[in-house]
Amino acid sequence: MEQIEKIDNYLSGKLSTEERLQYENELAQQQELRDLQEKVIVAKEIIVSANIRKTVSEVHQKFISERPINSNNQTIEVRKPQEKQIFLNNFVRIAASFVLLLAGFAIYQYVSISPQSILADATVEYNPSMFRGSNNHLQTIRSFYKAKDYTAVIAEIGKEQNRDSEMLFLRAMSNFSLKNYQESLKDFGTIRQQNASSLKPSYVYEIEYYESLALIGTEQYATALEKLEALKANNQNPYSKLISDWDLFKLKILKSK
Amino acid sequence: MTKKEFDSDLMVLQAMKTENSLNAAISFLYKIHYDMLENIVKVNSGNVMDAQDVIQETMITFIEMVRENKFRGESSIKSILYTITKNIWISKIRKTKQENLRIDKYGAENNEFEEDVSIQLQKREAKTLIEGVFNKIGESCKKILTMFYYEELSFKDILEKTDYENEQVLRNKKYKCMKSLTDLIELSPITAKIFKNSLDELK
Repeated sequence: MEQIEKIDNYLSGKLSTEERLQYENELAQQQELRDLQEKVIVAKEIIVSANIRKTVSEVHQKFISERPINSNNQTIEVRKPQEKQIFLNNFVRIAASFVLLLAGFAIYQYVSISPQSILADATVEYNPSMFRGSNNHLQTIRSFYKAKDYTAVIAEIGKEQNRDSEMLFLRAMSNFSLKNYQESLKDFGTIRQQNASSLKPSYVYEIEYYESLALIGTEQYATALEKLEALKANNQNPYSKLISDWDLFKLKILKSK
Repeated sequence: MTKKEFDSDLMVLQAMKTENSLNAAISFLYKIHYDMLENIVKVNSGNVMDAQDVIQETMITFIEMVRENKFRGESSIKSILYTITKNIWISKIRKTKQENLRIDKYGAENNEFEEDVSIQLQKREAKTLIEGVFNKIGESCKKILTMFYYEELSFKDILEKTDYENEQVLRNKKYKCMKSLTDLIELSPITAKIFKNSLDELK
C-alpha cells in the first residue's frame, strides 16, 4: 500500500526534495518499482479518460434529448402541457413507457445475445511475454503467437515430437483465437490431465478462464455458466475480475434460448 | 452557467480545467458549435448519427488538449474544434475503407493545428484500447478512484462524501481498488505497453 501512495505523492509532486531524491534512487535500483509506477501512470490515465468520456456523454445525451429540431433543421416550438390537466396522464405515460422500455430491452437482449457477442465482451488478449529461457523453436513459436500468426503457431507445434505444456497452451490459444474452439478444448483438456499428476501445474488460472469461453464457442452454455460462476467466486484467480454479473446474465439468457 | 457567463474563449478554456465547471463549459460548446460540427460530417457523406459519434470524440480530444496545455487559446475554439472533427471524420472514413467517399472538400483547409491534433488523436486511439478496463472494477472502486485521481480530492474530503468509518479504512479500500485496476492492466500487458509507449513517444 505504501508503495502506491508513495508513487501517487511522487507523481503529484507532494514529496519533499529529500524524499523525492530517495524515491528516484529506489526507482533507479528497483525494476519492480519501475513496473509498478508504470502501471499506476496507466491506471491514472484510464481513470481520467473514462471520466472525461462519461462527462461528455452526459452532456451529449442531454443536448440531443433537448434539441428541438425537425428534418429541416429548424427550431420547433415546444409547447408546455397544462400541468393540472395532465399530471395523471403524464404519470401513466411515464409508467407505460417504462414498462415498454423494459419489455423492449428484455426482448432486444433475448434476440440479440449471441455466443459471439459474449465472447467479444469477455475475451482479453493473452500475452506470453513473461516466458523466459527456452529453445530456439519455442522462441519462434512465441514470435508467431505475438505476431498473431496463429496458423503458423499451430503448424510449428504440429512438427514437434515432444510438446510441453507451453506449446499445448499456445496451440490451444491459437485455435481459440481462430475460433476453432473444439480444437482448443482438446489441448486445454490435455494440460489439465497433465496438471493432475504434476507437482507444478501450469496455466491453471488461464485454462479455467479460456476453457470456459471456448465452451461458449462450442455452445455448451450450461457447463460454461457453471465454470464461469465458480471462477468469478474464486478471488485467487485474477481472471475472476474480468467476469461481470452482466456477462453471466447474458449467458443465462443464451442457455435458455 | 449560461452563455452570458462565458464572454470569451479564454473563460471557456479556464472552466474546462476544473471538474466543477467542466460540464457547463462543454454544454456551452455544444450549444454554440454543435450545428457547425455536425455539418462538417453531413456535407462529407456522413449522417447525423455519424456526427454524434464524431462530435463526442472531438470534445474528449479537445478537453485533453486543453488540460495538457496543448491548446491555450492561440486561435479560436471554433477553429480547433473544426480541425479535430475533420481529422476524426477523415480517419473514420479511411478505417471503414470508404475511401471512395468524397473527402476532398477538406483538402485546402489545413491549418497550424494539424500536427498537434494528429498527435493528440493518436494518443486518444491508444487510450481507447485500454480505457474499458475501468468498467471492469466495481462501482464503489470507480467512485473512490474517480474522487481521488480525477477530482483530485484529499482522503479527508472523500471521507466526508462517503460512508467509510475512518481515513485508514478508506486508504485500505483505495489501495485495494487501485490494485484491482493495476492487476487488470497486467492481464493485458501488451495493450498497456502500447498505451504507455504511445504516451511516451507523443509527449
